Amino acid sequence: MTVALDTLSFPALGGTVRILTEGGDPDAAARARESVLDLHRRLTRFEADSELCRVNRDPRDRVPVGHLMLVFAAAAHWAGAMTGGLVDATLLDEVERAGYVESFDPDAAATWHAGPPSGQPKDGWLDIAVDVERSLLIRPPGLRLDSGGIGKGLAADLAAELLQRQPSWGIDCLGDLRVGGTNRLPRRIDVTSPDGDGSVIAVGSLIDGAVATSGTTRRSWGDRGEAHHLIDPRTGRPSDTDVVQVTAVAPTALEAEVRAKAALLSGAARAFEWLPDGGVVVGRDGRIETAEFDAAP
Amino acid sequence: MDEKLAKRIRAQARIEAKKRKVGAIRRGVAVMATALTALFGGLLIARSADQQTQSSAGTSDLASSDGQSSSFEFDDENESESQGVVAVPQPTPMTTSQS
Repeated sequence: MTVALDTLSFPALGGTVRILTEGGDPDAAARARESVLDLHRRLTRFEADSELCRVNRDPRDRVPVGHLMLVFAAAAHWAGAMTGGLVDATLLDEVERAGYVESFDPDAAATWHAGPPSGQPKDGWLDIAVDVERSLLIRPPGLRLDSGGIGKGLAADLAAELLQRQPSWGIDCLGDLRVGGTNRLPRRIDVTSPDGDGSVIAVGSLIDGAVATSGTTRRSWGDRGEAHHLIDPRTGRPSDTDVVQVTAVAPTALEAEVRAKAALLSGAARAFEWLPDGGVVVGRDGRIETAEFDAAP
Repeated sequence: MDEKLAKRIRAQARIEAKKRKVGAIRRGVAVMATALTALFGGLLIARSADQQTQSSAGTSDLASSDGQSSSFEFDDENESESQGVVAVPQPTPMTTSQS
């Protein structure tokens, strides 16, 4: 007897998204793919006609938006509130000032040059609100949103909802994973090195949940790779803590993504406070610390 | 203005700002978590309706022009003994890394 394994790979979110389904309805994977692509089209900051770019240009303080944008805005505020402002989706000015102005292949070397950092702490997330009944995004004009990691996490979570009835499935949105299935079988999760050589530094397993990895050694540029996409809202500059990579486990990919970033920005001494369901922390000195994760969080 | 008084006013302003932020954080976590859950549910319901419409119109297609679709099969370890038994596929390992 044989069972089918379907792998659907497609470009989205600035890389390659993969959807695995082991048995079940193959159309479910197609629907999950459409969900990811729809989110990409609406929330990318690299296409001028995306809903996100239109919102960021809108001079009104109350902007009529679609349902997905409301979800994203609520998630952005929630991420800021949960982390005391450590994860702030309103740092687009700072990201661009650091030099990240166009989409790029994370495996390729970027040649951008960073401008002078703002050096100013920011709490932009506090100014984001949503009026659900009127479908309005409320924020001061000029406060721009960056979908970034929150968008990736949401993409995985939304796609996951479309696969819930399948026997076994997994989604990989550029390192933000959601896994599950009615078979309730554990899936092995490999965590790779921040060196980008593909070597595995830790192994865990999940039945139903999410894992996300955040770090400063990829999507980096500058002569010594000192500029990267992960901005510390306390300084307005690229993060410069003693941690270079964090993997976080959580019930959803959005939460895993937010926890990983908060842990990285908190530094090695406090990183595990953000990882109650398990995770892996890699220090700048190469030290690897692991809180094991097995089965469902 | 007296320098000591100015310092005290600035310190008080910082404390008040911190209190506002803590209050906003507490409200934000509760309110936005509720809104997010409701919004998320609403989005899923809307999409489910869309997809049912699309499926009935025959627009679902696993293969895409811009993506890759691969499908392969692996043998169940107990193939010779498993006639009449529903195979349970072992989940394929996945990898998480920085993007």
